[in-house]
Amino acid sequence: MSTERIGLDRLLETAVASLQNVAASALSKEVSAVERRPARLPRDMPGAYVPLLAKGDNLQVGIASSLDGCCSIARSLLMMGPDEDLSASDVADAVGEFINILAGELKTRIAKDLSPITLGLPLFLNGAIEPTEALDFAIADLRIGETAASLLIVHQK
Amino acid sequence: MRLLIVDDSKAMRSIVMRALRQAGYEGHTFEEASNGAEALELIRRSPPDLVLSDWNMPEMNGPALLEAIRQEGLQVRFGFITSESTAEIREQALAGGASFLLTKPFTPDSLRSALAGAF
Repeated sequence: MSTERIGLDRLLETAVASLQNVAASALSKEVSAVERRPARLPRDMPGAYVPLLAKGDNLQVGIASSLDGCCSIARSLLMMGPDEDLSASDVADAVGEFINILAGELKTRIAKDLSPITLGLPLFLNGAIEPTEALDFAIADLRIGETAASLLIVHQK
Repeated sequence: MRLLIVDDSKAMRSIVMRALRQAGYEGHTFEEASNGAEALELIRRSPPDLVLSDWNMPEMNGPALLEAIRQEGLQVRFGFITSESTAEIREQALAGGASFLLTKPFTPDSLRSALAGAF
């Protein structure tokens, strides 16, 4: 089955459900204020992305936030206090690991609809994805605890 | 006891070590490797009592590491700690000779149970 049949909207809904579960268990945070955003990519928001490669489909699942928001996610994952040192590299690594965990949960949830799927390695982008005609998006704005973030599904047509 | 933690994420290696301490493994020796190739070199030099490995890693992934260990006849207990948790992945891990596959995120209790089953 391809993304055309499962649909980006359903993928995003499943990703939100995965995020709720992973944020509760890995960050001890609740996900709230989930709102579907028009397909405009967030600007000036760093974030981490993991490729989900299925037959005939090339997807990315990502989480983007402000730099402070990314630091907050990293601190929660690492159970660090606000005064403990955290380098830019540590933030990228931790947010990458967080989206990796989320992608694993998403893969399990959609395995019966979009199989076989291979997970790639996470990548942290300190910038924005530039939209092109070859890309489709589904994006939800939300809060992870007090942190504003966007959850993205990017599909290369 | 010596435990080798293999993960390309420094954050996850730190989380695994913290969970091990919370699970009662305080005082044991933890070693780290950031991919399978680096881990294999460490194992060849001095096999640890247990390898805790991620699945997806650059250079050499977890399944390839496990296969290399078995092919070389190295006697090492091996468990996966990974975000991968489909039935196919679990079957592949156990068929390859892993003692367990623990899904991220995990708790110190679930880690303790997994390790108890490996010894």
